[in-house]
Amino acid sequence: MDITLTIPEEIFLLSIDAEGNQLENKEFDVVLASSILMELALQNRIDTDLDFVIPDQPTLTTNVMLDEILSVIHASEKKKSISHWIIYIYSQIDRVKKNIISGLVQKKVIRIENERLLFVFSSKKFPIIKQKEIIEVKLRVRELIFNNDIPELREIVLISLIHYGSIEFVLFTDEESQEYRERISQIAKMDMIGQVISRIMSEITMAIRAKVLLRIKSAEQRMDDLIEKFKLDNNVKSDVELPEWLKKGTVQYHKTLHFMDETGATKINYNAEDRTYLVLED
Amino acid sequence: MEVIDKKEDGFVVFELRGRLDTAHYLEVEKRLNEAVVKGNSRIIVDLTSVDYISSSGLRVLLLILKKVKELDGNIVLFGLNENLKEVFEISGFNKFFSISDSYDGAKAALFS
Repeated sequence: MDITLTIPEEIFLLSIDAEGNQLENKEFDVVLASSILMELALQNRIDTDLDFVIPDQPTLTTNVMLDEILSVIHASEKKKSISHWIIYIYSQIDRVKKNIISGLVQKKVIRIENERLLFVFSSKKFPIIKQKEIIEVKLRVRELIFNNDIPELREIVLISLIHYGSIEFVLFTDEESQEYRERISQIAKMDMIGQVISRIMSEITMAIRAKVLLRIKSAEQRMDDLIEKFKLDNNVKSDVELPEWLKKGTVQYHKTLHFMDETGATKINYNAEDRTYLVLED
Repeated sequence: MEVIDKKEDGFVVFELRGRLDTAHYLEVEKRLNEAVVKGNSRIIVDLTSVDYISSSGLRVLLLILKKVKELDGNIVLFGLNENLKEVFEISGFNKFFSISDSYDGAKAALFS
């Protein structure tokens, strides 16, 4: 009987090597967190644009964890950015992983093997029982890259995850990655959630280094602060009166957000004449 | 969102008006699918009056593109405003679609 796997399950399987060792690092955790949002998008439970997650159908999925996250997204009063939700899911990544692992065990795709090293450390291995499942995923994605077909939605998502998550090695040799670099990045960017991954990774890595994960403000939060200040300073009452570069949903807002992201600035100004941004001193 | 279709000689033109977003992509998908099921494999989509497109909107267009390609057909889009053009470029969807500036250009591209 064929088994249906979710995107988080597929990407988790791809991260397991021949000995059952699973790739474990903060970057991969971001990939897993992003894969949850992507699964919700594939199941039409959320929609996205270049910046934001938009709640779509509120009907339950067949997965308790996906439903929990979905209910939080739907209950959110304000529409929030893709990066906000990835960080939200990332903040509970241990639970997310447990859910993915138990799903794969239930489907009898992997088993859990506890390993004791030097009588002190114990580590877990996840030997794959049903190799067919993982081989099929690998073949499907590799084939798409090697030919010029129009990609299926699931393949776009997987390619986006491995590309932006810098784990192309789970599917391609270095030579293949080089040779098909253009095709891989072209398909990867078709997923708007995927495009955010590398940005989040550097934000999280920096935050972990600085041990201020709870204190950092995302680019979107800094934008909100900036908008509020602009409204106060210029006596602007409604969002409709804001200039394009501060008006949510416009392309220029998207560009501003990217500028804030890249520079990490909190105060900026925009010169509409020569279309340039200026970072102001704090 | 308004979806207006017009049968021409050998192709169908779909004129979309409004936002191709979460609230409307299913209707657009249904209408485009119906056309393909009826055997229309050459489709022009007029996006002149569309001011916003979300991922779902892009996904619907991609799904229909796949279907018509399987029937040896094609979809040509035209009338994208600057916002839409940017979305197509940033998301890389412009690489998979024929995009034209005018209806005549779209018609020519459909049969090229």
